[in-house]
Amino acid sequence: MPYAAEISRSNPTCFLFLIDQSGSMADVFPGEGAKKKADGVADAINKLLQTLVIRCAKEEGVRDYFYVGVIGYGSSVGPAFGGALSGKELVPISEIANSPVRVEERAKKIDDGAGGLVDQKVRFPIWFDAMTGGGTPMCQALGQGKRVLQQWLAQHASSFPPVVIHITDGESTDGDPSQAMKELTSLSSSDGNVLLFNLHLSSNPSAVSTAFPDSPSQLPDQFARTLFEGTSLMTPFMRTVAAEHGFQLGEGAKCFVLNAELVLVIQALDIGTRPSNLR
Amino acid sequence: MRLFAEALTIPKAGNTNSEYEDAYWPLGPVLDESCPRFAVADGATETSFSGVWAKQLVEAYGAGAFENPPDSGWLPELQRKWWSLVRDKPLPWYAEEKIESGTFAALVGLTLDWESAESQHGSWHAEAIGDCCLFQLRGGDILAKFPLQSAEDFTNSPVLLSVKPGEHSAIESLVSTRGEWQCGDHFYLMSDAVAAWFFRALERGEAPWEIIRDLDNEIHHPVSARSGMKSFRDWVETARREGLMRNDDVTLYRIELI
Repeated sequence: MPYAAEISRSNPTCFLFLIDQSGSMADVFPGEGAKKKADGVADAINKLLQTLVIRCAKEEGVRDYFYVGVIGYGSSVGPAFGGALSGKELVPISEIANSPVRVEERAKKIDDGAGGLVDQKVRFPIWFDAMTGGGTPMCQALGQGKRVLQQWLAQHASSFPPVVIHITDGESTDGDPSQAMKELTSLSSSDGNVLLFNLHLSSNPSAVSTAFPDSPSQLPDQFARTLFEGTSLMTPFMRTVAAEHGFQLGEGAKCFVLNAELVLVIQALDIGTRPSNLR
Repeated sequence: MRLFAEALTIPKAGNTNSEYEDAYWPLGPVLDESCPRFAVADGATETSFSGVWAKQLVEAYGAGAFENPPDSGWLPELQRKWWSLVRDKPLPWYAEEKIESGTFAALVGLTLDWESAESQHGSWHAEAIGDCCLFQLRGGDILAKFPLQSAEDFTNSPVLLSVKPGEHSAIESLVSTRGEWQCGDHFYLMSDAVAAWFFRALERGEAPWEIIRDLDNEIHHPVSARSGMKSFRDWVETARREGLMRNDDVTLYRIELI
């Protein structure tokens, strides 16, 4: 049965983020006031990295169940971690734990116990800063992702397959990405094919928020349909986590989210990165 | 009546002995009837300091705490002790955040009662929360299975006992049972991976007790000490390799009434 491999320090898995940093990512996030898409995505990725580190934390330190990479694409294509991790393509989670660029203090709303909300200060480590500019060289980014994962899979042939999370708002400016997505998802370990998750923050005014559809019929344009076609089917572990978040999924539901608000982006990231068989 | 009991343990494959997060009570091999209480607990893998919590719970069982209602004070006291132990350590940011989500454990405990050292029979009672299991065997018959009844009762999210005082609901899931023992009976307490293996073997019509009663704990008995015994470690590693047992910490407590 695919997608059943144990995830352990001797058999880790991998999460690779492909992040659109084109000029249009400076537009405002739907439903988030004045927050830019790029800032919202950076917050979501940093929060997720924090969650992954904590998930792997044990009393003796952080166990390397995961390798994580972030590739940004816009003016250029390449690794997007900052600070001590700059230039690194895939990093074991323990190295991420010990190398944030900085730790900010953010306010979090919590229940005040009297029916209201109060701000509580929380630590918010930053590994990845928002950046925007240039075009949308999506094919090149998918190609770089393929090269990085090919190398990783050569050393981890029986791993739980890598999950690629691609976040974009626009149309590819270097050609049709269909073939590049196909090549990426044709990579495999002995436990199954690489999984591709597409989060499409569409600027099309007729796009309605859609999560994990099983057909492209509600999608607003050809570009959304192209991304949908290239997206992986949801696996049993993703379906379980999606159900915990309250989603009811069709039989052929795909790892695709369109025009998501920030909360849905965060839920989708959780769904894509929570395989349950850690050992 | 005489009593022989010992625990057989092994951590998950790929983990060291210090990363074993099950716990059992009593610690040493029991060769007489001085200790009537036995317990096995299983700390949740995805949390930290779960082994500490599992150890606290079996010690509490051994001290008789579970004879009293949890709201009589022993559970909040145990929870306070866990928080003070883990917050007392200097930890990096991620370990501090992890601790705030607390930890959980499953437990099964057995208490044997008898009138005198010469008793040939008596009563027993057991308490459990979660998916650690007890089996009572007489000859070739399973007299008791507790608290789970079949392999399909194992789920990914059993109800576990939490260190968070606000999460008392789990203690309402504490279940108990009682029965009679006689000389010649065997009791087995197991953490979930080996218990699930035992149930599946039973459901295939096999006699899994024939395997586990002949396993040797190399820690207490050098290989040469008892002939015809098979190494517990070798057996678990083979069962894992063949896909018959999940890779998890394994604890098997064997109690024999002679």
